[in-house]
Amino acid sequence: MKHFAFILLFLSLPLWALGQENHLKVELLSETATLVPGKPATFGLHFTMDNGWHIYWQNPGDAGLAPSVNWKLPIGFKAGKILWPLPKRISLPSVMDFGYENEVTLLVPIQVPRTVHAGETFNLTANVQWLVCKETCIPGQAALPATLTIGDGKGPADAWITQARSQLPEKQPKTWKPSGTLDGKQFVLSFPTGTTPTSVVFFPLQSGQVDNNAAQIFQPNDKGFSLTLKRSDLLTQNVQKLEGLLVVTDHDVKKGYEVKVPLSSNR
Amino acid sequence: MKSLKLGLLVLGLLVMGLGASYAAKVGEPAPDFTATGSNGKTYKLSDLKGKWVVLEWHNQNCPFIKSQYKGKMQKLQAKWTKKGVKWFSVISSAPGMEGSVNAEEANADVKATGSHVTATFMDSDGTIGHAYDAKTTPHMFVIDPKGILVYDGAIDNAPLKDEAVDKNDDGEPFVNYVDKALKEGMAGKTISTPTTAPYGCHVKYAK
Repeated sequence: MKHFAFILLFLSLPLWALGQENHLKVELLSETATLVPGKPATFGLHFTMDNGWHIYWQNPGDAGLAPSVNWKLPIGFKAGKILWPLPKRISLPSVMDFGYENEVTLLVPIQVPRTVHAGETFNLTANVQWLVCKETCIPGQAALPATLTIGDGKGPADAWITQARSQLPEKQPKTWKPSGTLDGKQFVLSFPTGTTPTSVVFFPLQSGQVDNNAAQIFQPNDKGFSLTLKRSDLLTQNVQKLEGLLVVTDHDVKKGYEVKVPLSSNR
Repeated sequence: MKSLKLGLLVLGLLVMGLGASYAAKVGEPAPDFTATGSNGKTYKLSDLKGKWVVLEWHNQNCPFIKSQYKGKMQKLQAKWTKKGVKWFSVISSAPGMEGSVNAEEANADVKATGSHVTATFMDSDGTIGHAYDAKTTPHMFVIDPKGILVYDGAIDNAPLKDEAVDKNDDGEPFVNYVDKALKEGMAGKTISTPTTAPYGCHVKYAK
């Protein structure tokens, strides 16, 4: 039985390589055991951190640095951008970080060329860089090699990748039509969603617009809800829109939406 | 309605006045302070009027600082201190936290790295750090000869690049914002990028 479990693990979790660094472990995962010609495949960078340590979202917040990956791919293969699961607000003395604690799987789509054939194998390497922080920060990097086999792409999907996929944000529903105002002190964003969630958190995509550390004021209203965010002192000119990730919690269900809110200035 | 709005405005100003009157803001006078240098001297910002001043938040063990001090930072310091700029690194690490050093250790670090700072300010209680709302190491501030804060933000747009680069990881041309602010400011021009978001390690304030 033990033997069987071991084999199953290898089949369903193609765990090819491991980069080891203080307080953090990173693995390269493939969603499926084989890749299909002409189809996009999904890879995962699965980070496991020691208790209390964190890595960063694409906008790291007040400090830190987002992880990055440079791929060394066979000819014809093309990697997309990192897809980021929903981050958390991580509060430190006087600063607010956006990131991940314990573990996270960052997803990367890779397009497989049409010209490859079943049974062929290819080698690739993910050169991953990150900064992991607690009270101190440690930069790290790892070269994670993998061997890919071309096939029918069938078989169980990697569990970490499946889980991360469920934590990716969606596009903002077309019916929402959010709007906002910006003055010298704050952004007031209105979301006429027709629903009243339990709580809402906004993660700005750009740094230097919203005061990350300030409390976000969530107010349900008869059309949906509004969110008031403190303007960053670093924002010296008004902006036309505010882009970010809205994480909406309704009781126990948490969902993320990529939002773009047009702003009118009433300075 | 108008009077209500005005009332709210006054209230708002009062709240701001109470809460944030000391926070540094670009275009406004830089918060004054008195600092003790690791060289034993005392410095008062308002005494430095007439000079350009750079404040560099510092933590010798922070990877972002280490990366800058592989040569880029010293070069920049040398370039501008030769032109009369007063350049201070500020250590706001609380006792026991990363980067917390005594005067002797701070001086040894300056010597070891070949730093060209005018002095290192010992700010273990975070007074100067909080007055400027310094968030990271390196968080950089530039103050003009009139005492106005003219730059607040990152040192450059290429974190953790030990060597000089032409482009950053996003493919944008490399910019050192402090260099640019000093260059423009000394030429009597408007500073084209007065604020950026600082990057780096958190300043290790007391919890």
